[in-house]
Amino acid sequence: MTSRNERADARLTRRQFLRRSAGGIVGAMVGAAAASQAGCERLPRPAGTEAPPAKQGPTPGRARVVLIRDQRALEGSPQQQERVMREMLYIAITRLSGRDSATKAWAAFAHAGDRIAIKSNQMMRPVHLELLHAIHAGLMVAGVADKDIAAWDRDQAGFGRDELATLPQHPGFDRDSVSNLVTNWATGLVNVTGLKAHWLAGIACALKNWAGAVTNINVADENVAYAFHADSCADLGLLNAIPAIRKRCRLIVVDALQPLFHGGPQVDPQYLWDYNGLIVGTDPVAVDVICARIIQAKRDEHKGYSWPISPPAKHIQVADAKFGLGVSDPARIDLIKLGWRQGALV
Amino acid sequence: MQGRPASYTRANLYDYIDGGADFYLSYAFQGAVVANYSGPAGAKITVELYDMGSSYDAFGVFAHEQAKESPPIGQGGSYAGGLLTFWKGRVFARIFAERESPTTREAVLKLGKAIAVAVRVTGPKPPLLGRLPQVGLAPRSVRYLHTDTALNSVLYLPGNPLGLNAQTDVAYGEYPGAKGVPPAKVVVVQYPTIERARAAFVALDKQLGGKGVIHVTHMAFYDTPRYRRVGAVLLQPYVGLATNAPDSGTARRLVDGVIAGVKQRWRQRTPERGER
Repeated sequence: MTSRNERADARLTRRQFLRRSAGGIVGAMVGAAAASQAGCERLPRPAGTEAPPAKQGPTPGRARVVLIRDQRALEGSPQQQERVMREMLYIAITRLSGRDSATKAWAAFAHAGDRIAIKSNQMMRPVHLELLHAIHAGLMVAGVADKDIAAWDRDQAGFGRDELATLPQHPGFDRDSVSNLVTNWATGLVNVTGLKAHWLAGIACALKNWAGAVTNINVADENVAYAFHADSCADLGLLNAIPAIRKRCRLIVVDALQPLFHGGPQVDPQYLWDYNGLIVGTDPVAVDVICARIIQAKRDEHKGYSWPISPPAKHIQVADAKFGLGVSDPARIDLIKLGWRQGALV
Repeated sequence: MQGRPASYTRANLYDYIDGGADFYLSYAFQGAVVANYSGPAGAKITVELYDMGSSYDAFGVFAHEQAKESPPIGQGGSYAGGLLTFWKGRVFARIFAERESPTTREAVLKLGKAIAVAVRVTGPKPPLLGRLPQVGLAPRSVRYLHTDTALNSVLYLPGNPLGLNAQTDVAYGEYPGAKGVPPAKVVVVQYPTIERARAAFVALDKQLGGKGVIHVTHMAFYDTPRYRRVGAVLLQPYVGLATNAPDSGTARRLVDGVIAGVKQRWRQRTPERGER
């Protein structure tokens, strides 16, 4: 389906997009002195720049998902890539939240005094470190202190920007097998995952990422805290439905920069491609619907005929119908597409 | 080499490849060794060596993904985008460069050749592959596996009607047709007992819309929206299944191909199991 916003964005020229990108990052940087302490650059604000136009939040009963792509995202040094990703994020969350500036948009997801744990994905196909840095910078723009921003996967965590690359800490798990970061530290969570096919679950994106937030699980589902592997991981949603996760997760960011369209989680480079995208939302089911559409379209394009995701990602519909985690009906998902359009696939 | 090699067993392979471990564990995986090397211009090259317990399973893991480029390394190699895989004897190897370049490609291939030479024992491919119809078979599509989760990544059969598990052996192949049309697929399963083969055929027949009764001919054909034209045959202790055939004639030819392959096996009377 095509929303009004989508149609409008389709008319964006490259120049307009870059100008809006510049407005987004500049708007977010102004007043963010703390961010510069964390390695962010403080840029002067050119006259006339402003955040992308989006004055309304999601419509009740519907889900909003933002896909933003930029050809420059994987070019240049890590610092250059981080800068582009910050721009992409600022624009995306502005459109997602319906706030009129990037600074206000970040404030919709976090504020001073929060402790934010970013559930990253470090196994096999780690999310780009530059993206973690960009999210960290955004959270600091919202007023969250450097030491109050953590990133983790399984039992490896890092606190503050300097530890995001190495994740040297071991936060452990609570008596319910959930990471202590979730239940005993964080006031808010950010779900940061990759876009990839998965041989057990069909795809492994927003809903699957929480498998790294718990321990005491195995594929046979024998004597486990959370049994979700049966029937192609149909019940994966039960992880997102853990009360502390469901209540505290505020934002989902999917690293769709170099997705994997077949054979995951172990990476076969012949199934990677440069998509240069980020997918941002707050509804994990709707986000995964869009992720599945992109993976499916890439598979069909690759083969030249229908090459269904196998096994099918049935956990997406189950997460909606059984766990009430979000919207799986594509007709009730407003996909806002921004930036580079060539090869968008959706 | 950078640092000490890490070793993994069935108990802790998850620590290295998380959900990817189950793919290896669905075979007779015995252990793995992982080492990192400093390649050209400091590029990291990782070597993973998997002891798959038998040459059959080493081939099975290798065959799961094969790229177009097949360098003559070990008993079969595959290279794409900086990743070299090969199998030799009971060893499956994965060697990959962090960043692909002409120099890292050369280093990866050189390292692979040296490792393949060091693995001295060779082994046969699974004879079960010979039960697949050979006419029209796409060589790189051939798979050898055991469990339903492994089959699901190439042919999804909900509810595991074939009753696959670690004790079953499965050969899979694809048969391309017209351009732009999905290929037909053939699965041949060898069961440890005749009873299990028979039970699987009945369950499959039921799922495909049959009446749950084995036909006198032990052969059945179906027209399904999901799998297009389908043919199935029971040749105890084997079950053959042809799906996604564009027409009933193709489904029949593929089933006949399975029958011919099994009859050839009966004539040979060579051991097909127990060599692993």
